[in-house]
Amino acid sequence: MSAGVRTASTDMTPTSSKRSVPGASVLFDAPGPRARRRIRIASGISIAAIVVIIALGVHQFADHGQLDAAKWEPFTQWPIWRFLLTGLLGTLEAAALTAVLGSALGMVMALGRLSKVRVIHYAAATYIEIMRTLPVLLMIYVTLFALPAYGINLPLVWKLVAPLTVANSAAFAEIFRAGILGLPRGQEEAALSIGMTRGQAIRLVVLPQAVRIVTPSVVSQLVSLLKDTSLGFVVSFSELLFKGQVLSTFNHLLIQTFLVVTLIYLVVNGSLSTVAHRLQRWTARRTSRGGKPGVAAPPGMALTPMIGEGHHE
Amino acid sequence: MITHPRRRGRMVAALALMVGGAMVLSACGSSTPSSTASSSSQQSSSSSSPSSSSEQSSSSSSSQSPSESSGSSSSGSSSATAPAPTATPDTIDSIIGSAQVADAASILPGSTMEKIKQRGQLIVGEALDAPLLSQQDPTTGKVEGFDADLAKALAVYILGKPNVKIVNPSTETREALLSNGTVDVVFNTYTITTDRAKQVDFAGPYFTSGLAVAVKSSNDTIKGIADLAGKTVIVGANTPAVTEVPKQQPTAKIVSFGTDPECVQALIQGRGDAYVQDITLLASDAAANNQMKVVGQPFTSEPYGIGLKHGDTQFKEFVNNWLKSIESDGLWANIWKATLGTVVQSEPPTPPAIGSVPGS
Amino acid sequence: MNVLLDNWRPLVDGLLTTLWITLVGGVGAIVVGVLVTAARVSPVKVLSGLAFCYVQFFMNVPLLALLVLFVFALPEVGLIMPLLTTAIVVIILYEAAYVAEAVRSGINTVSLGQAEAARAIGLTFLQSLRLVVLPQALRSVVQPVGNVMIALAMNTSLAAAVGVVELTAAAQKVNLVSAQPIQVFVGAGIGYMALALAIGLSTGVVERKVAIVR
Repeated sequence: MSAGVRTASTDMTPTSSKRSVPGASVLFDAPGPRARRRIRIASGISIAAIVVIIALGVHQFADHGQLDAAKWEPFTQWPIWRFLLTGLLGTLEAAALTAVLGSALGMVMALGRLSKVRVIHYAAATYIEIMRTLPVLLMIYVTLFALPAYGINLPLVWKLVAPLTVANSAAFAEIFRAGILGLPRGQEEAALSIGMTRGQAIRLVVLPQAVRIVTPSVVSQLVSLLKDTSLGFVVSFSELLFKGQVLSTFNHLLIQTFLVVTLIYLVVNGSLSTVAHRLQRWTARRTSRGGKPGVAAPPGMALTPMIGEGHHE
Repeated sequence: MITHPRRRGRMVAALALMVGGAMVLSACGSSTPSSTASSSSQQSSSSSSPSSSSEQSSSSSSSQSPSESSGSSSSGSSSATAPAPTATPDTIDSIIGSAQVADAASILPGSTMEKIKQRGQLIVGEALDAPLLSQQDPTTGKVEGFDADLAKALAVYILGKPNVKIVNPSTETREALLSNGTVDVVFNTYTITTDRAKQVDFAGPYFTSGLAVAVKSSNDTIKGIADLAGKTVIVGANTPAVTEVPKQQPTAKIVSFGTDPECVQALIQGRGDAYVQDITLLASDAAANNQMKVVGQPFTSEPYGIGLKHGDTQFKEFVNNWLKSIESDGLWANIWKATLGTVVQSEPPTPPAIGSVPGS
Repeated sequence: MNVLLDNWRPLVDGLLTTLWITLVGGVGAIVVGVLVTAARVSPVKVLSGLAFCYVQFFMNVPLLALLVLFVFALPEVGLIMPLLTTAIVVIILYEAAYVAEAVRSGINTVSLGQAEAARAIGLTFLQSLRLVVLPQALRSVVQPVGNVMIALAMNTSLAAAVGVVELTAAAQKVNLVSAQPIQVFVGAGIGYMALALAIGLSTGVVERKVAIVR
């Protein structure tokens, strides 16, 4: 979870067509008869191994009585799902708040870090570097225990959202900064040369393009942020994992409840990730075809390198 | 919000106790307004856990045994729960329905009772996830248990109908909820202490609980707290056990988990030799799970009181009179039987004498 | 700062636990992550599908949920491990998914010509991966993997949720006793920042070492 740092790693995944994965096309020839046989054998072995492992696991699980119908039957009931889905709403609410506030603050910090004014630059850089290297859990403890001791007692939702916003704003800042730095210099220079001020150049020329490039990374960050809201459980904010906890205290089915909760996360985040991939492919296609030269890296290298670069300095 | 900073910090901490950090903490956060909102039925759950924290245990934990308690309708829909005992659906509602109503003369003009009567609703600070005491049934939204049903009975006494609005407190804000008038009364495993009595008034005590020891059913060597020296002891984060066990058995190794079900699972999987928790909770766990059992008697004593606004002696006297009347007319015992009594094979205990504890 | 000095023992123990989880978890995550990537780009469809599912699963489920599941559900499958070990295993599996994504994108940055050339001189799939593509890919992913390592260090704090007393849990414990939250948490925060800084610096060093001068 620590959102803060995740950016760089998550976002990549350019899935664009064949070119992007050299492995797929170049690392091996189109397999001939022998290779095909070998691949078939390898596949067979892996499938067998997987099946055996899964079967063993399921068998053991059943042996311990965890698959008894009685332990799963409750989850066929609508009220239980309604209860968990209310939790999902809480999760989405916290995630939405964090996303909006975190990205706004992140944008400010990104621009601050790129500012030519030294004070602003260092202030923003310090903020970003500190916030991306503190565990969110620790920040939550601060809002839970430290701030109230000094008379600041945030409303429940904010005890979760405030630390998440702070942590994610650092991540967003790095994403945006990478996007801006990833644009060819010429864009800004051209804007300046036609008489725009630096502010105008950034607002009218650089940002619109940069935002487009980083959209997929932003969506990946959203996935990570949504996962982070599970820390709401720490502040007893009514989100999905917390609801799962209350439910498990009620029905004594800890394992089953957590499996179901995991499944819900998987579905929700999986759909978000799919959106990220689609966006990525879409951006790649748009840029390569529609001739906005330079805006995008060649599909294969999409964001990674840029974002990696972002962290130097 | 209000609350005194210092104190709060300490308590919270206590609650939180390290443990599982995460979950654990759950307890603390809640207080806030938002949480308050929940009203009994439908609730959104606001946080519940906390509640109890300190004292009773974790509230979070919880296991409810299924419900029995629940009364009403719940049974209909929920089958979710584990096998449980008992009480038929209508029992508790009919018990409460038959509760006595105060005579008009005792509702003094200008008193808190009159204010409540005019409002038509009793606002109660209570937990949502303390099994057998005050646990929400996720399938119906109803909150049932010893504390919850007593609160309903008090509502009947004042209003003539069990009209209760629940505000879910976290331990550290119960004093604040009372002093700023957010709630009329607190039924929340609220242990009476002289410290707290400086900020709130306590009616009661109405019940005495305490920490006890549970082990795997197969374990015959541990018979109580005295046998825990050098053993690995599982405790719930945020529960008094975290500090109490080391006090009694300094050599015991403490492992804490965030919620009661986790502690139970950990005990059964052998991650510890014993599990120390509030006796009401342990009883409900043991009733739902034949792989564990409670051994010995509680080794601490926690007298629970009904929290009232500080200085409201009129109301305190009124509530104490009500307690006396339900204790003598059998309502107290009936509610006990329908809730805590479903997991204990014994007759209802004798309630502690009103005002018998310093601070009450 | 007195609180920190008075309670240095549990805090240092916590810090050491955090360091240990970070170290073992980091090395493990890199190894597993690289293996997963290799499976991902391999010609065996089953393997690459499996690797894809692996990455998707671990990237989409909160670590906290995984920790609880592994600690309490694995024993039901007959695997019971000490809490610390379980936490480390979960962290390895979880972060390996991120490492795999980072490495895969690194592979994508290796220019096609490299792979083609490797194939042209007759290297097999495994050889071209091992001798040509991966070495270059790993270079370009030093920075992203370093970021994953920093994230990993932060995530070790979640082990507190399953009873592991690492730095965050230790700080909370000390806070309980001392009721000095600001000092304690700032102290713990500095610990994490130092750890992140150390990872960042070593990432820089490694990157410079392996940099290819073109």
